[in-house]
Amino acid sequence: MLVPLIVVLMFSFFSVVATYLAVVERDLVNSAVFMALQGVCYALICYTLMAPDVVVAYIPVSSGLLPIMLLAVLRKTERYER
Amino acid sequence: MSELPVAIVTVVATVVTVNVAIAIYGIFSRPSLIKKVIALVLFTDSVNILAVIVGFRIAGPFPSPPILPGQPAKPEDIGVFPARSVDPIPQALLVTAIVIGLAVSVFLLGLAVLYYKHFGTTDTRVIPEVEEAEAPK
Amino acid sequence: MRRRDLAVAVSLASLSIALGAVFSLGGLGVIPASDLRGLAGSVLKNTFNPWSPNLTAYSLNAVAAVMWDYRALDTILETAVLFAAIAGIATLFRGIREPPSFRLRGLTLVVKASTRVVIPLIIVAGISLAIHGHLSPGGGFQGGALLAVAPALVVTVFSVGAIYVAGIRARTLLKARYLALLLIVLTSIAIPIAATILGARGYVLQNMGKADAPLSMPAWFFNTPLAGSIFVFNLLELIAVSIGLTYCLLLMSARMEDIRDSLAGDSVYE
Repeated sequence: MLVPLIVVLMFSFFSVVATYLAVVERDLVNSAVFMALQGVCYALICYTLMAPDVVVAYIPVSSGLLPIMLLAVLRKTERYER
Repeated sequence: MSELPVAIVTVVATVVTVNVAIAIYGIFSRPSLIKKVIALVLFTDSVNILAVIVGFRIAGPFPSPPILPGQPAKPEDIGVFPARSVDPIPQALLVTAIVIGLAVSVFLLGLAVLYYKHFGTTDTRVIPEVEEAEAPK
Repeated sequence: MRRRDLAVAVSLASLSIALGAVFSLGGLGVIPASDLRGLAGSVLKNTFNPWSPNLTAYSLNAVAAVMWDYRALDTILETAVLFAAIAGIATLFRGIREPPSFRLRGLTLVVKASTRVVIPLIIVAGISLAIHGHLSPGGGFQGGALLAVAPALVVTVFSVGAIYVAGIRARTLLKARYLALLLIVLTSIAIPIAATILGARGYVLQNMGKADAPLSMPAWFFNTPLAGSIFVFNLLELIAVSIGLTYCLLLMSARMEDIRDSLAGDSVYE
């Protein structure tokens, strides 16, 4: 009965860490990977909040399509900021 | 027995609010165009989780998702479903919001590629000077 | 620079505290609520209710019923927003030169062999999510987004040339998407036109028969509930979304020397 609470605690803590690292990181490829990681954490939180349609719509978008398009754009523009 | 949903909602609301703050900081303070797009995606996703929280409810030991497990055989079986299930309307609006967020992000990425082709840089501190240099006299 | 960062940090902290205060003091209603709101209760009672045939949508998935039957206009407008974004990308990348069809090296042999196993699984999972959208979690957009991950994997592992060698061009994809969107519009006005021909009444975006409009889309497929226009919309949205996202991916994977600088003042068509 305590399992949903433990899952939510752990993965919301991971999502804060992933968001902070995604914003602070200079190498933008690492930033894209942290964005995908944050998407997985949010998908698990949504699953615990009993929203399966949102999970199935969110995982391909945030962990599949957007990082791949970001990597394609980074190949053409600058990879390191500043 | 209602402490479990209340505890879950409190934890998620706190964490998501912190994420919203970090993402907005990322939009304002980092000079690279692509970092701004990444921070905008993080901001959109965090606000979407707040909408899921609005639909959550306290029901029984734990609420159930808004999907019928099987075809009901008698008219009385349908009464069980609204007693345990969460609100389905915020989830439908949320799928719409995910599509719109994807559309905006993909368009901004395409715009970033064209900006690099035209100005030669994605640094927003350098672009106004390039724009002034090439403005028609 | 230090003072500006401090101002941004202070304003963000106050935004966080204000948002938390709004939530906990009940600014958006009591969260989490103990009983369902009235509209949600009526939706959940009527989403699969063969004993009240005028209000039901014959779909076991309440979220799909809300998206494509009770609030179908919101979803049509969301498709229009995606259409506008793809039109914007097509305008930005105008004048793009199609690269010659050759394969580049791609990644190593191990990655290629394992991707060849995974890609048919992704395609089947995406189509299955869209077809069973009214029976289990899923639907049109979910299946379309999952189906669009397969070309993205092909572009990453095998290089963009693999897609051009197979004969897929960006312009053909756009025309196929227009066909799917046209079929969505035709499905939404199918019942009023059929009702006008037969002399009865019909509403735009109508799914099941109402009290004064007796025509309805097919609701049963032998013994399985088939929620009429929800099923048709799911299939068409699968095709439209997957083709649209593949088109965006193909445009963004083009080489920098093939992209024409369309932000310059002069015309790109000689």
